[in-house]
Amino acid sequence: MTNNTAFPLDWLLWLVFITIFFYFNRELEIMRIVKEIESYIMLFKQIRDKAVSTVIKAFRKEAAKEGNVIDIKFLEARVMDLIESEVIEPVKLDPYGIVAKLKHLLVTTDENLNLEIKRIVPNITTAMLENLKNLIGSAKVLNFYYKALDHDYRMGKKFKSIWILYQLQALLPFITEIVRAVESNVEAVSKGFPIGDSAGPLTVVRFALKNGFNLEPKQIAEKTVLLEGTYRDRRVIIIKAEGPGGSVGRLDDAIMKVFEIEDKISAIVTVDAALKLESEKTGTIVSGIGVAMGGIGVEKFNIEKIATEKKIPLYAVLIKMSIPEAYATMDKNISEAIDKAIERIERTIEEKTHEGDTVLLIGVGNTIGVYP
Amino acid sequence: MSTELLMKIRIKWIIIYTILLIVFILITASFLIMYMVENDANYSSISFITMMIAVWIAINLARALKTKIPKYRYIEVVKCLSCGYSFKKKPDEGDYILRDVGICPQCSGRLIVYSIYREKVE
Repeated sequence: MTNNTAFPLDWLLWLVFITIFFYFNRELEIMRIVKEIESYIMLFKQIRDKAVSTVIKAFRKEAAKEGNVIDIKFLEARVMDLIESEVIEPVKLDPYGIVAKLKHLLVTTDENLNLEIKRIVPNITTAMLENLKNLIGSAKVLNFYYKALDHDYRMGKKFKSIWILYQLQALLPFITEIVRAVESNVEAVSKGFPIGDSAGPLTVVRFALKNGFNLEPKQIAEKTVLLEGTYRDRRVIIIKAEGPGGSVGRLDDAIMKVFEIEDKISAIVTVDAALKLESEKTGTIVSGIGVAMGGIGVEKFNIEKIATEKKIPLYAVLIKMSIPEAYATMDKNISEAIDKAIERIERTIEEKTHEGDTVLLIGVGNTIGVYP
Repeated sequence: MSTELLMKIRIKWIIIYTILLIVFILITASFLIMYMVENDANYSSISFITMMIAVWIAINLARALKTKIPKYRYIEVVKCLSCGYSFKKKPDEGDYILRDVGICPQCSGRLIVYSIYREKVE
């Protein structure tokens, strides 16, 4: 009889115990995830702050070259203004003409940044101006990732939502990879050495050097230069961003200018860094059809448009690398792959064009540390 | 940059885990000795639990020791355009590809910066 009355009480106690156990287990899980995300936020903040101080140091160094001393508080405020500034996307409800609108915004942003930097250091060299713009761009990306992660973390904590925290935790390795990549970019740009993304411009310059081209550059568009020479009885026109500052140039404008003076182009060959998959080796060379070009697509659109109108075949040579390798100082494997990329360009020109033809060879990417 | 922070965290945890591991090994050993002397099953149970904790700490210590922070060295290849003579050196800040760096000691040709890259220090 006693056993029968105790039976439901035991079960009830078990039920209470299990409920409490599951509740605390969930709370502990939230605490563990929160701790992990907090450590990442701390890391991202430290990386962001370091990038900002690198930008400030670079400004002070340039000002010192001019014999000026800038007030640190004024400089910090101006740099933070530049880092926090935003580019507002154009309306896409009517997509007709969106590329022209985007191009206008990009040009305005670039010119505005030039003015802002020159206001602080008026006599800065073009190369240093481009490097400072790169540094500001990297600091901007780091600032964005830090703030976005912090925002999502605060929202998850505020609503005690384990699902927001789970999502954030799952994304952390990918975000960290990008943040670490941009962080190494700050280091590379502050030194002014070529980065992985400079593989395109470096390949075309080495091609020109190997084949005895005239290395005196002609300015063809803003921050973009042209080199000319002959390879196996084909005229080769090389276009790349103007170095050694960290610029990507205005390649589409340059190509349009080339078409104004030279109408008979037989092929356009673009050389660029491309993202590799985890199973692929860094420095693998791949051929392609189309325009090898990253970014938001404005320049790519304009080049594709002009090539389609004039029915010019588009060939591409891609140098494979990971995101961190593309942003960091050029890796040994990429540097060694440049010679293979040159061989692939030579093969493409020999096989796809004939003697007497004119080929447009475009080195796509950031030309930091690569002259001309 | 963040590598320095990671290095600090790694060193901090290696020290903590090493101290904890030594402490738990000593506790386990003392409970085992007490079990052997007094033949009380409770001591063996406690020593088993402390041994499990010591194993967990050892695994974490091994993980912390395995974490490698990559180190890089920067290399600049200087090459003569006429005779191909080349040598490697540490790049100076502001160096760039195709920069004139002087006259070739072998043929008096033009020496240029041919490449700048980084490689992992093993």
